[in-house]
Amino acid sequence: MSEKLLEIHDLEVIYKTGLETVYAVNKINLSLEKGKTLGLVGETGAGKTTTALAILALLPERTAHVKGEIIFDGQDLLQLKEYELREIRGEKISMIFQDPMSSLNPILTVGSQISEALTLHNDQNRSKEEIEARVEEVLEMVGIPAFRKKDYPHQFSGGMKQRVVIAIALACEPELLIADEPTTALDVTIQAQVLAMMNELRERLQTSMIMITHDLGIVAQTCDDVAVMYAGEIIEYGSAADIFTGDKHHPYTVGLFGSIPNLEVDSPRLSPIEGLMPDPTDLPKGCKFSPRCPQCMDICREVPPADYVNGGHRICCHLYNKEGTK
Amino acid sequence: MSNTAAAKAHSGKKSKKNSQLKEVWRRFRKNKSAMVGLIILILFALCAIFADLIVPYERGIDQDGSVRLQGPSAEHWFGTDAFGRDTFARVVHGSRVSLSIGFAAVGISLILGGFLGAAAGYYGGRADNIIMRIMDVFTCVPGILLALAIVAALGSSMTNLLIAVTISSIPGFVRLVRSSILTVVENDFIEAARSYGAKDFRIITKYILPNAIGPIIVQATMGIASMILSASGLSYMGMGIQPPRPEWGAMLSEAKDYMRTDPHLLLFPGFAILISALCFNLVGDGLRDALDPKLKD
Amino acid sequence: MYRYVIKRLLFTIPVLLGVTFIVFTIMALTPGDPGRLILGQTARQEAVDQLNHELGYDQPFFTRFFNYIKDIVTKFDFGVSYRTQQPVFDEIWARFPFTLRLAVFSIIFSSLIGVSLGILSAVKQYTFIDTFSTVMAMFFAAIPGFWLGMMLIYFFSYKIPIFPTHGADSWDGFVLPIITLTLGGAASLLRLTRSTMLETIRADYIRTARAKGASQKIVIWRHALKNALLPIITVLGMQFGGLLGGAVITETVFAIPGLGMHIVTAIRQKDVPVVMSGTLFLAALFCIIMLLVDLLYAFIDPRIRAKYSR
Repeated sequence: MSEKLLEIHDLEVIYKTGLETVYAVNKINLSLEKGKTLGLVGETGAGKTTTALAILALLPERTAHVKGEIIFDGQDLLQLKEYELREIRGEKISMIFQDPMSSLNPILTVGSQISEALTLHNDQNRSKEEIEARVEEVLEMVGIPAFRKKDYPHQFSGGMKQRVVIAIALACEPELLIADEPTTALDVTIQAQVLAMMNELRERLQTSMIMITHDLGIVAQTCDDVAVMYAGEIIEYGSAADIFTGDKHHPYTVGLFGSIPNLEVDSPRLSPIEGLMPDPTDLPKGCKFSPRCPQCMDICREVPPADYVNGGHRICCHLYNKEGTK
Repeated sequence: MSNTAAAKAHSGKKSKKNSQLKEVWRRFRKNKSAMVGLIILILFALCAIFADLIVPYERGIDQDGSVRLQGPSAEHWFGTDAFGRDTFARVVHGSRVSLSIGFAAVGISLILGGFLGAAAGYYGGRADNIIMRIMDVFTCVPGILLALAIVAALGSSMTNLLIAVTISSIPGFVRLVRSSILTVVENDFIEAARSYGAKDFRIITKYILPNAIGPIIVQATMGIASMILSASGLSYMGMGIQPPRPEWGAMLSEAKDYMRTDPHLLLFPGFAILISALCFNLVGDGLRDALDPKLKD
Repeated sequence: MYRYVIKRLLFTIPVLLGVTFIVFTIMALTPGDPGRLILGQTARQEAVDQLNHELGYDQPFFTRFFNYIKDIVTKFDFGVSYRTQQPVFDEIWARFPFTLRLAVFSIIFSSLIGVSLGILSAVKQYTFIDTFSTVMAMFFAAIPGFWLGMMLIYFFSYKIPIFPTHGADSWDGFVLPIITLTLGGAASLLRLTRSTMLETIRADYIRTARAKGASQKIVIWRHALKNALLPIITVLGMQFGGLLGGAVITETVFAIPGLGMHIVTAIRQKDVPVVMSGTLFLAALFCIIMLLVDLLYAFIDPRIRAKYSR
């Protein structure tokens, strides 16, 4: 068993404003080995981005209440002081954000936005020239000609901007890269390019990665492990093989697969999951998925299910815990 | 089948609109300072409406040499002025002028500014150019000088004061409405409405205005405050309400010569302006936070 | 860029023409005529009519307007004051320094106070300093300037006689009017700075900067402030332009013989040439200030720079 880079225990994030309390992440457990990629899958609003921001401690301090443990490289990130976190952000853990259009500062050149990360984490005492050289190197690495470092974000297309965002994230060669839907805002053709590039870079730099997405195709292409999130909980967790080929699944995962077109099977129509994600200010008492679950039982509405564990594969569902109910 | 679905969708839309309003009100109610502002404003409005019941107009008009320049007392709550007139009565009746000018000026600039701004923002091109250049002209002339010149030309009266403050505030409303409309027009649902052949007027009133109304309401509320301030400023300059009719700004102007010995003359009308303007701003702030809660946290 | 500046300067011509037309119209509607004004109440009607004829005042409105414009364009002649018979710009140049002094000092102080406290209260949202500054700003934004001025006179000239009640003969006469104008301006700048900063701090690129490990200081100064500056500069420019013409009331309270007061006196006396040239002067200044603001925009924001050079 190889070394764990990141372990999350009982992470809980609650947004409290004067008006309402949002239960965004509810006691999740995760772990990630060095050099591996974990896919975090789920619908919009499932708590994926909140989890990612919690790892970087970038949640709004006043409203977000975070509990649990996030162990990275042996230290609990939630216990660190702000200045200690700054050492980690950008250098050891960095993040690629969802919307490349708004993730870059419009009034700074892309070069200076990349070099900023390098200057902030200048452990190797690089000179100005060396930093500039590194900026050019990273730009070339993500497929942007080095001379464009003097250009401003508005001079780039969406796909190119996302490459810049990736370049910023990779500039310091982080140990952990969190990619929050890195391709959703992009055209399909660009998506494939960006993904291929990220895969290649990951291979070369041996970076661990958390890939947040709602696209199962991307998961199949990139991930070693998969966690399926629903309403702030991880309802199924396992290796990519477990999730894609295993015979037991959480009904939500089944639904998730049912809502993407399968060209090999000639099905008359897609089967979307009925209904909407529950209101995070007012979650159901038992299983959070019970109101939408096609296989819902009486117990599901009352009691939150425990994990059914089979090797590394965890399913949080009553179906597999009750002997003989299925 | 499709009928019931449509009906369902329709009722859903209606209740959604209602619940949105309720939601705004719920958030507004939680804002203490805005609620205090609203309550004080309601009191002011009641004061203005029922001024005659509170204190007779004559007490603020009839001169009485025997009680000149008295300090506050049980008989004259806010004291008396140089003509022996009751300051309390003058402040209460003065609220009529200030509040009605505030509301009327904002109402008129909202209608005219809204119309011009909507036309400029929605049609763009030449209409936009012409309207905005004309507004540039008005913005270039300092508002207070423009207003003073208008009152000088038309003569001092409440109507002319109203015209003066309204004209100098229209450009601001035109710009605001135009920019609110511009941000909405770019949305896809406008394109959708156009694609199924909705008429311009219908698109503007049904789709654009409801979506652009938030900042406009906020600006209008705060606009009342600035109208009250500029109307009282004009009256202070002697270019507004004609004596003996009580008006807060004019009262302060009259107090000028006696302020050294009788500062109470300064205090009450000044506070009346301050508090009413403050409360409109508080309510405006509260509305903004209630309409756009993401700015709050 | 140069092309943009020239284009903008050319654009001010129709705007100033519009200003001239509007003010000319308003003044034409004002009762009274120049002959009577120049010769006084006691003059005979024939003499007044005679003078009005010489001045061309008996001609139709549009002829008069056209002649006025023609004199400006061909001879750069803005006319003479009806009241003093002096060229109008002599008086404007004599009065303008007072107004300029008031405006420059109060815009400097109010931007120093308003912008810095605005940033501070946005960064430290919901702390004591934030609550305190926003309450103060609320308060001063609602105080009518002339009342504030009178209260300052009461406290600092009568109760504790530190400053003179009025007059522009020495520097200390300017203290109270500058305080009056500063407090009002600072209040609205504080509110604006706070809200634009709060909005900017929530932007995605601020999160990107923080994710890079940037400290609060870098995030605020390098990333947030520059982006929040655009609306602030606009309002600063408008405030400055407004102060040049709109400090009339404060000038009146403190009896400072500035340009605003000069124009108001002329409005009351229907001294058309003075009103016309005064407002034109202020309007031209306003246009130049707003042009400078737009150029500053381009300096800060590369997107606008790109738009201008097209």
